[in-house]
Parts: sequence; structure tokens; C-alpha cells
Amino acid sequence: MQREAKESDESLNTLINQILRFETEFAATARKIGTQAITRRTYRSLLEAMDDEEIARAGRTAGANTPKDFIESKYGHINLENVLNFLRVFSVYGRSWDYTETTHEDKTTIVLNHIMGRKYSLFTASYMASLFETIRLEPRISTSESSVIIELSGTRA
Amino acid sequence: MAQSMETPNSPVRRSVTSSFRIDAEVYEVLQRDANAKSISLNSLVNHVLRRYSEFDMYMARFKGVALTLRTFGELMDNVGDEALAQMGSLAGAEVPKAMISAMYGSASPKNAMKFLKLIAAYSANWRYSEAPSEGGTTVVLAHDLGHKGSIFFSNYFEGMFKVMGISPRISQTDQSVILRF
Repeated sequence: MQREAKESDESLNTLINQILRFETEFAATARKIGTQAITRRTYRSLLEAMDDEEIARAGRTAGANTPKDFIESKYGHINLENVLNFLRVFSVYGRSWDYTETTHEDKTTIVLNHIMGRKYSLFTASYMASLFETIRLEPRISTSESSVIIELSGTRA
Repeated sequence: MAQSMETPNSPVRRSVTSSFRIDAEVYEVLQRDANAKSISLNSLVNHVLRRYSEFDMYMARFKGVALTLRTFGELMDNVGDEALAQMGSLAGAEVPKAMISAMYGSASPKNAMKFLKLIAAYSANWRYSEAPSEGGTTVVLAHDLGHKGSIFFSNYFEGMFKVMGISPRISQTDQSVILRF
């Protein structure tokens, strides 16, 4: 780890704090729910081999299960705050997407950027619809080739 | 009951004493986790740091995307056998060689076996067992991803060893991939 710290141009103390934070914020819970890392290429190939309907179905199933498992294991209960925590944590440590959140008056807009193509957007949009359904919210969700936009009205995040 | 914290590739351990300042909230979470596992905070932190230096550090460099095994299995279930075999073969030929080289300095068959044991120890992908047989060695990698998982992994291992110049005999069941060297 001394070598790693030098290569990263940071102190060993900083590196150790990063590792322990990674463990406590993400890794320990991710392991409990059976999370693995898969290369972007393999992930994308799997999605490319599926038709849109199959992708939407897989996204809905994953969105109804994975976040709920993670959130309840880590935070104890599922609500909007913890859903957003989940999205932030998976952005930072899970590399699933880049997360941006803006709130204006009573509208919160979440943008999830990625480099995985249209089918990943479709998968993620279905995943998010299913996830928000678990807290009885129906946000407006739109997609592009490289992003998923979630608009929550009437609920200040 | 105390949890086992054994790791695969470090038979002899030397310890050093060092002091670090840790963020308070991280400390509290680790302390709770150590209590829940009935182990000392020192053991837990050592395990986390060992895991990082042996495994997570390399996984992070390869920038994989987090996905549950359950979702991985569901995605594979929607893909035809031939396409899945190609994906496995491609992934096996590309990723492990670079990762093994980064971890151990060279991508030799011996280091490939260490890599398989390491993945088994630190991830839920597969469980590793090894036994001598007919003058060689039989390795069984058991998994929970069913028939499609066996197709993906058997081609993954074939691709992985092929780039190292060896071709183990590979067979599969719905719960395992068997490699004979």
C-alpha cells in the first residue's frame, strides 16, 4: 500500500482512509447482496444480444431487487433519501453511472450519465422506474444514448 | 462466532505496527462491524487492507461495473448459447491476462491458478476446489448461475488459458466448470 500511495501521489493515511471508507460505504454491503464487477464490454455485449423488451424486463426485475437489498442492508429502510444515497454510492463506487442532482423549487432532477449505449439507457430507465415504484413514486424518466434523466416533482429530495 | 478471515496467497505473515488517523464515522461503522462479527477491530481492518492490496486495488484499476450475480444471471438467461460462448471467450482472453500480469508480474499458468483461487476467495463468482487425478490436476469451479453461467465460464476459462498457451480439458455441469490439467 505504501507503493500504491506513492503512485497515487497521496499519503498512506489518506489511502487507508479511502479504503476504509470504500469498505464501510459500499463494499461490505455490496458483498452481502452478491455484487460483482463485470467489464463494461461484457455488460454491453450482454445487453446488445437482447431485444428491447427483454432488457426492459431485466431492468425492472433488477430495479425491484438490487437497490432494495442494498438499501435495507445498509440504511435499514427504504425511502427517498436512502434511494438517492444508493444512487450516489453506486455512482462513486459501483461505476454504474455519473450522478448529478439538481433541485429547483419543488422539482428534483437526477441525471445519470454513462458510456454504455442506448440499451444500457433502456435497462437503467426500467431499473429506475421499478426502484422508485418501491417508494410509490412515479418520476418522469427520459433517456438518450448516454444518459437517463429522472424528474421528481412535488418531492424535495 | 468469529468469522474466518483466511486469504489464499499469504502463508507466512509478518506484521508491523503503525498509527493512522481514521475518519470518526468510518471508525464507528468498522467498530460496529467488528463487534457483529465477534472479531477485533484490528483483525477487521487488517482483513480489509489485505483484501484491498490483494484484490480490490486491481479490480478498481480495471474499472468494472457493479452488478449483482442475480442480475448477471438474468441477463445471461436472455442470451443465446453461441453468443454467450463468444462473450465468455472474449472476456477470458482479454481481462485475466492483464489482471494476472498486474497482480503477479507474469501471466503464467501457475499464476492463473492463483488468480482463480483469489477470485474464489474474494468474490461470489465461483468456489474453487482442486484435487490430483490421473497424474494431473482437476480443478472444479462451482457456481450458482446455472447452465448459462457454465457456458460463459467454460469459454472464459478456455480463452484465459489459451492465451497462456495451454488447453485444459474442460467439461461442465449446470453448477460447475471442471478443468483437467
